[in-house]
Amino acid sequence: MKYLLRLAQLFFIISISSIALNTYAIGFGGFSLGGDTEEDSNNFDISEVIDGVKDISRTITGIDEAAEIEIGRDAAAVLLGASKPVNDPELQRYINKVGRWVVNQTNRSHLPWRFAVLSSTHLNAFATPGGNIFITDGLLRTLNSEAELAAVLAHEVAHVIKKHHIKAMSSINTSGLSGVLKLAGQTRGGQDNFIAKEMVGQVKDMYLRGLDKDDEFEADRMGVVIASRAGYDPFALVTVLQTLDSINPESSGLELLYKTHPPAGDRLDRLDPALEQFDDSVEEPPLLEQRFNKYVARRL
Amino acid sequence: MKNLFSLILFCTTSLLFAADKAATISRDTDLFSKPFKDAEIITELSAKSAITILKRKGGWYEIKTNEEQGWVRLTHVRLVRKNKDKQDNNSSVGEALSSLATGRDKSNQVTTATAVKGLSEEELSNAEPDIDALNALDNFAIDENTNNESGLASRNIDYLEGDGTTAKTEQTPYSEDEE
Repeated sequence: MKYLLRLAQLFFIISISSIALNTYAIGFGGFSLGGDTEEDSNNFDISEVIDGVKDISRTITGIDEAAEIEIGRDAAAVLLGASKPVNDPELQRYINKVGRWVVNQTNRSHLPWRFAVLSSTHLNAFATPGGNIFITDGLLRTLNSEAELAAVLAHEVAHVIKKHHIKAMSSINTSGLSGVLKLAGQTRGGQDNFIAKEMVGQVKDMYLRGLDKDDEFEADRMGVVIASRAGYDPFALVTVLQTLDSINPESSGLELLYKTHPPAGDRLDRLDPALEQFDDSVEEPPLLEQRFNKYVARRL
Repeated sequence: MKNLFSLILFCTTSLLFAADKAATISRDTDLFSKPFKDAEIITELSAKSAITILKRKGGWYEIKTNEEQGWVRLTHVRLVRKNKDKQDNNSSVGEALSSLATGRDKSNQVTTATAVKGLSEEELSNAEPDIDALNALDNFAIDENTNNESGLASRNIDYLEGDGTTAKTEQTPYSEDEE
């Protein structure tokens, strides 16, 4: 029964995506061909369903920011339980400088943004709601420039701006967003250092399953724009994805990344049209390799 | 001493960054005489053609095939995947140096670095929340109004809609930032 509920929940959340709206219209349109009257009850249901979808969509977009930040702190504490920040204050400060400049190009620069390099040798990067962004040491070491670092951070920042994680968690919780908010409330109402057990489980679930694939593609497109606004090379995400694509996907450090993200080659294909507007740029934005090397390379 | 060696190694690799790289074409694409989409088309390259990357300029790679040389769109290129055996045997200095000859190849280090894992599926599943580590992130946070030290100027660029095909194209992204 619980499983069924979850399935229903999942279906409902999937229907939030714009494609689903069309599918409903087409699907029910087909039904109504067999109907006798204009007041066909199927038609009535459609508008209700669509309104419901819009409501949920609006609710996620309009989620209370304090709650969003609380959920994000819970999620960040879980990730930090799995991997600690690298003990290198200069490096951590540097990545916050780069990240801060990137988020200042968005309409959510007021969030309590925190950036950190985690000591894991896996290749991955994570965001949590409300503005915690993590990149693993493994991924950082495969990058070639500050522009590439900014591209990775901007992709994660885009997830936060669009609240993709809130959406994903709402699809995991059997009561949807209200269930997630309830858990967040338990954390906030509890003692210091308390996080609701169910919240911990659902956060893990989300990071193990990953986000909606279309949300990943969207974060790629948005991230390119955000990083470009900051003055970085718009093509830096392309070179990052090309590097990832050139690494054997069976390498141990890539398992979770590929379980939760579309293949790098697919992401490159999907980015292609979005990059056309940058094609004939005469000016070549700096890659800031030197600054990057000053903080990253000395650690090799 | 080790650090010094690393530094020298790193500087050398940086210089070699532009070195030739083996790659393939990911889809049928035009080979242009210059890095512009209005440039003269030399020929069409078919998907999976083997190429060598000579250098990059913006959204373009200058490449050569056995017969031709010209420019292709960056996104239509895939680097040749390193084979696993080579990665696994790459721990000796000699081999690390030999990888320099083919360009900067840091990805190899990923599989040979001393394993401090921590974000495998299993480790994530077993993680206990660490709130102290979370609070410690505040130590490195940068305030919203802190001056940007990158030397970069911000630009006005709109988010793309849909697949990006409806993006504003009438504006050149790099000419927007007049102060």
